[in-house]
Amino acid sequence: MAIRKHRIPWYHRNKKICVSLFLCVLPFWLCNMIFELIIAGFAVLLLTVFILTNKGHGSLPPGPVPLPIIGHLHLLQPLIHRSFRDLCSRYGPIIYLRLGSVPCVVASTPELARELLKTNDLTFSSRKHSLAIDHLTYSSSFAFAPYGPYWRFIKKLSTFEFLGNRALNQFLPVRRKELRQFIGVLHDKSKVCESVNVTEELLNLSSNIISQIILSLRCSGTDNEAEGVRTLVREVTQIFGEFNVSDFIWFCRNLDFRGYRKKFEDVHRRYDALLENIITNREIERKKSGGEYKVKDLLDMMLDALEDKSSEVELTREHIKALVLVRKTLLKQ
Amino acid sequence: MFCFASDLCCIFQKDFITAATDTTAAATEWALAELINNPKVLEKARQEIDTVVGNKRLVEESDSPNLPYIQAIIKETFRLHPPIPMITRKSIQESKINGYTIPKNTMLFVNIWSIGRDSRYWKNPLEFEPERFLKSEGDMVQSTASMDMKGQHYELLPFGTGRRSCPGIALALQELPVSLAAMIQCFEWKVADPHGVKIKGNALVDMTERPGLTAPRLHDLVCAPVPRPALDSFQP
Repeated sequence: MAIRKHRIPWYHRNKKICVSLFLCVLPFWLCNMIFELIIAGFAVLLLTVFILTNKGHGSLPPGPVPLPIIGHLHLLQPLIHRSFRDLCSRYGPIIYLRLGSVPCVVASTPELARELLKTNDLTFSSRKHSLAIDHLTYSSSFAFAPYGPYWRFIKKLSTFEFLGNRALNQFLPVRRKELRQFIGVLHDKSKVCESVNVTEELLNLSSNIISQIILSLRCSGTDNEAEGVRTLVREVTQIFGEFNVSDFIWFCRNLDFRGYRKKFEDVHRRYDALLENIITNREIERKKSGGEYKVKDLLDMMLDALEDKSSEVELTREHIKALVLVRKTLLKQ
Repeated sequence: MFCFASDLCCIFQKDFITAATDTTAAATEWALAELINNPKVLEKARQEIDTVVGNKRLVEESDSPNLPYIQAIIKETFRLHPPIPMITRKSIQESKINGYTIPKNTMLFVNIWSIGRDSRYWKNPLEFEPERFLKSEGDMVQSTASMDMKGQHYELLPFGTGRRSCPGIALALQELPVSLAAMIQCFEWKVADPHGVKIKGNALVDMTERPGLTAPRLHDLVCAPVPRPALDSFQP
C-alpha cells in the first residue's frame, strides 16, 4: 500500500515543470501557425492575381484557368492537336491558353480560319522561332523571318523562280529518274520476297529530289559529299525538332538546357563548313564555264541574285546558307 | 520542374520542322496505309490507272489530270492526315476577332486536323471516302466535290493559306499523285511484320500518329510488295 501511495501521476508531481514547458512551446507553435497562414495567404493572393490578370485583358477568348508559371502546359497530351481539339470542344471554337510564358490562341473552325488567316493575314504574318532556329539559320531564315522586304524577296524568288512552273518543268527529268529508281528498289526487294520499309524508301525518294533541286546533289549517293549532306541534314532537322523548353518558359531562358546549345553550335559549325565548301566549288565552276551552265538549281539562282548589284534586297552568303538549309528542311511540305 | 520540362521536350520533339522535311513522304505513306486498309478504294484506284495508263509504261506526271480518283485519294489523305496538323503563326499587332481581343505577340494555332475530322463539315468524317471529292454524287455535301487545296477552301488547308502558305505546294502536288499511282500500278501491297519478313494474311496497318507538333505515322510502314504484271513489261 505504501508503494501505491507514492504512485502519483507525473504531471501532478511536476505541475510546475509542465506549465513552464507548455509556455515555452506555445510561442513556437503560434509562430508556426502564423507562418503557415502567411504561406496559404500568399498562395491565394498569387492565384487571384493570376486569375485577375487573365481577366484583366477584358475580352480574351475563353479558356481554362491557368496555373502559375506553366500556364496550361499541364493540359497538353503528347498529341497536341488532339488536346487542342478536346479543349475547344469544352470551351468553344476559339480559346486562349498560356503555354509557359507564351500566350496562345487556338482556332478550330473553317470560319475562324478564314477570319484569322485571310481577313487578318497581315496581323498573323509572323512565325514563332526558337533560339536554335536563330542560331542555325544565321538569324536570316526565310521561313521564320518576320514579314518584311527580305521575306517578300525570297518568297517571290521561291514562288516564281525556284518553285515556279518553269523550274518545275526543268526538274521533271530529275523527278522521273528518281521515281524509276524508287520503283526499281522496290522491285528488286519484291523479287526476292523481302519486306520493304516503305517509310525509309519514300524519304530517300523525296530527299533525293529536293537536294538535286537545291544543290544538284543526290542524298543517297555513295560519294562523300552526298553522305556528308545527308548526315548533316538529319542532325540539323533533329536539332530543330527538339523544341527548346527555355523558349517556352522564361526563367529557363539562360539555362543551358540539356547541353542543347553546345550541340547546335557544333552542328552549326560543321554545316557552315560544308556549305561554304559547296558554295566555293560552285563559284569556281561558274567562273570556268563563263555563265554557260547546265540546269540552274536553287544555289545558282541564289548566286545570281548575290552577284546582281541592282537587286532590290542585298543578299549575303549567310542568307544563301540559311536558305539552303531551310529549303531542305522546311519547304518539302 | 526539370522532370516536367524533360517531359515537355518529349512532347515537342520532332516538332513542325523535322516532320516538314518529310511531309511529302509522310503524306504518300499515309495514303498507301489508308489504301491497304481500304481494299475497295485501292481496287478502284488500280482500275483507274489500268484504264488510263495501261500496263505498257510507267505512269507519268502528265497523267495526273486524267486520274481524278487518285487526286481525290490525295485530298482525302490530307483531310484525315495533314502532315502539319496545325497552322502556326504569331500576331504582330493587336486585333479583334469575333468580339475577342487578341494581343500582340500571341501564338496562333489553327487546328486543321480537327477541322478535317469535324462532322459539322464532313459526312462520315472518320471514314476514308475519296468519293466525297468527286463530282458525280448528288447529295447534300456536294460542295466538297469542288474543293481544292490551294487555300481557298478553309475546310481543307494542308498547305496553309495567305502570304505564309507553303511555296512548295506545286512541287508536292506534282510529286504526290504520280508516286502513289506508280506504287499502285506496279505492286500489290501486303503488310509485313515491322521486325522482319514474316507476312500476316490481310493484316491492317496500324494508324497511330507520332506525338509532337506534326503528325507523321508512329511506326514505319513495312510492306511486302508483290510485283504486278505491269512491272514486267517495262524495266524501271
